[in-house]
Amino acid sequence: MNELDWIVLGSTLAFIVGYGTWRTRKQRDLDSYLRGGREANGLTVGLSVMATQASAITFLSTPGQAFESGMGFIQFYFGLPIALILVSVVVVPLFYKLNVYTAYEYLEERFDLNTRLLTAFLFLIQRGLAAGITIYAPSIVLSSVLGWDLDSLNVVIGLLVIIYTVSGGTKAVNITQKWQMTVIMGGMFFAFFTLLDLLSPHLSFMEAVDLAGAFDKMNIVDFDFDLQSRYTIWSGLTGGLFLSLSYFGTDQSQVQRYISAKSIRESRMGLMFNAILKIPMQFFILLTGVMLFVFYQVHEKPINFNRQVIEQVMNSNSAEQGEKLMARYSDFNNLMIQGIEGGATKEELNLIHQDQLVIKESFNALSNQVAPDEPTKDSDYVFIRFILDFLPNGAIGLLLAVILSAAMSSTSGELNALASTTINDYFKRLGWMGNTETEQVRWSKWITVGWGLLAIGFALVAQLVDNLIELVNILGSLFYGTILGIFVCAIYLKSIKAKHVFAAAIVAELLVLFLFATLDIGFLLFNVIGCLATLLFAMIYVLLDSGKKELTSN
Amino acid sequence: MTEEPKAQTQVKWSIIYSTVVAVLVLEILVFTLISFSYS
Repeated sequence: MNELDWIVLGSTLAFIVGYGTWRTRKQRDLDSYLRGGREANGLTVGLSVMATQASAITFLSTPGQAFESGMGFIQFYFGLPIALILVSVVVVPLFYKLNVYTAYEYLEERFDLNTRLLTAFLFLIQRGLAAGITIYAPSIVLSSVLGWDLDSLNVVIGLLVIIYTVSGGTKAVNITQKWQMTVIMGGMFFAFFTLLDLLSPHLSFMEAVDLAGAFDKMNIVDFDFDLQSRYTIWSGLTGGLFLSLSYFGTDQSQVQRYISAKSIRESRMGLMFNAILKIPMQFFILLTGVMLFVFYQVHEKPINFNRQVIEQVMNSNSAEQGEKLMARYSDFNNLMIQGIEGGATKEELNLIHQDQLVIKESFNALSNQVAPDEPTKDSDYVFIRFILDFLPNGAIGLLLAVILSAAMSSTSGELNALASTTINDYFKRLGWMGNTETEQVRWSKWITVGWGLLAIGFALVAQLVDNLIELVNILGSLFYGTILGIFVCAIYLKSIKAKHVFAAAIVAELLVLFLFATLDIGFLLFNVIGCLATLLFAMIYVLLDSGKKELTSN
Repeated sequence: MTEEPKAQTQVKWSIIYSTVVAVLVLEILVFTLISFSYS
């Protein structure tokens, strides 16, 4: 990184934060603060929904995932367009008719206060944890690669988000997310076309795709019925559908985006914008990862993309052994380049690749002996390493702005939603604060600051827990199914009353947690199980209840 | 007077939703073809 990168990075972030704060500095009533005064158009809503979902780790991890496992992850999104249609048809008119500030408000109208508070509580726990991870995940990668202090980076990202989210509320989140998405997509296109340009002396685009296919990276759709496989067309269409339904229909961080639209029509347009563009966008990010894989077959690639892992081995007693492994890995790199240029067969290239993987595993095992606490999995580091090593100055600053913008956009959406739920479902509903608009906005701002500081605090201690990112993703799937089940009961099953759904939700949640502890199945399926179990238990309780009533009346 | 615009709106949204589903089906079809051609 040089001065030009710092200027690009600093000015991009300063512009977004400054513009968002300045444009929304006069938020005097609660409706403006929590719903942006319901002024957003379809495009703003669409970009805001997209930016809330796309966190920094999307742009760091997704190319790395394609680099490692190919394009199959796209199947995770197959249920999303259907879910967005259902939300658009069923949920949006309902929320507009009841004029709600949060999704959970509807549950009191339909059931009772306890069901509203329980569901809001489940959301606050899950989203509160996730907000910390949204800050921590890019910080750990950037601090490791750039040598920046991890704690300082957590605090800087968190504070920047707090500034404009506290100042302008929902409107500031919407406005800044529009600019953040522009920077993100601009930067990603630049990186992709630079990658193709660097590949062009060796391979054309179609030759690169063919080569990726030879390494099984173009197996996009998997029709296997194996329940343990994480991404198949079946888990995407069922688990992905249920997860997306829960996320877009019941998660306040998304609900808040589309209820800020000026009409039902604009709200629906924003959702359909995502229904059409989400899969192509993810396809493009995954394709960038696959092209990175091809790029590193015709260029020297490091034995581990996280340089700290290499440094730890080289500074230990096992340095000599590590050096030998690196030399062998490099020999196979050259063999691969010669093989591709000399027209080797698919089988021959795969043999070289397999040998390289074995050497890499030996090196990682060595690293584990030297530093057992340092994770050796390097897929999150592939894209950032490429950016730093191969992009021109200025573009490096832009791509770092992309990653930080993505971190900020999803964090701001989360903090805004956490504050809205806390204010609306607890403080305002339970009469814990004053009734004047000015007082309520002041409370909302302080609660946003509180959640922001909590998220920073959680990001600061996150390093103490292993595999936290995966843990939070799994935690989401463990709770989302039950929350969705409560909403499906509310909307479709009129015979179910508050006591039925409340008990059913608790039993269903316990069942999901029990199955999670005892069964080894893809985590997406817990969304389906949680939802169906809530519906089933609620219906059984209704039947038992009606049977009891009949017995009593007889 | 109010029935006609409502019916028109419903038709318009049905077309939009059908288009979204058609695009999804087309995407899955293209992805399947790509997968088969490289398997």
